[in-house]
Amino acid sequence: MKTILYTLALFTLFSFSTTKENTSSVDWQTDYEKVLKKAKKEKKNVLVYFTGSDWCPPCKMLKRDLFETDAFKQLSSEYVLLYVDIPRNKDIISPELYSQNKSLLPKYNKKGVFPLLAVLSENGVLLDDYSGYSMNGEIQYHLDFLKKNK
Amino acid sequence: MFGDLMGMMGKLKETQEKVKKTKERLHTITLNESSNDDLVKVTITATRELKSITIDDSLLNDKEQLEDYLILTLNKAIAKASTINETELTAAAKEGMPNIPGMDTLFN
Repeated sequence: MKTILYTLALFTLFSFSTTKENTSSVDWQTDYEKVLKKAKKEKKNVLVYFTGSDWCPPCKMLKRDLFETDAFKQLSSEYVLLYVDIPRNKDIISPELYSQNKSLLPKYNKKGVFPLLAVLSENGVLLDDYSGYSMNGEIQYHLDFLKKNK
Repeated sequence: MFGDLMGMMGKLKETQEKVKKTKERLHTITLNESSNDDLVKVTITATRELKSITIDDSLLNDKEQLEDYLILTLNKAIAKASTINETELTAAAKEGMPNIPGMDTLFN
């Protein structure tokens, strides 16, 4: 009986954690080519997030303040998402990914500013971008930007 | 003794290089600040360089009010940029350096 109860408890715990993961995570991808293919297939624009995950304080705060909100989760479903990290510590990502991310800077982030949200067409043409963050939890500008470009 | 000194000099050079790179990175961080009613918006880098100022048309008829708005918004933006600047440079300066009081401020 004890074993059954224990198994049941474990199963319940596992089910809950899986459900939570599914509802709280947003599908950020890192492969540029794959993202463009997906965007073409789904006829969606691409939302690119340029970040310095281990050195840019506003980038870290934007990730927490914007990307984890329900409003963002809802709006982000209108886009295919591409996460472009240029970390200080290059060990965080693979050399191939680092090189791909660096190559996207002159194309979509010419000024090299962080954080930057850029919207691309399904063909990879830059349509609009929005840089910076106030670091005070004010995300309305970012949400308006996403609404405007979906 | 000289071995230690050479080692220290090497560390110092390494740290100076780290600080230099951090300064370059800070120059790419952009921060937005706006007045409470969004009539003035500014963008500044973490190295305290102003990138843009947007002023609502409604403020253009009142010079004094506009000046007040600019002072408040710019000061808020500069304070925010300074905090990031100091935090990041201190962290870079501290990396690999012995804990000598006052050493971190040398790099600000």
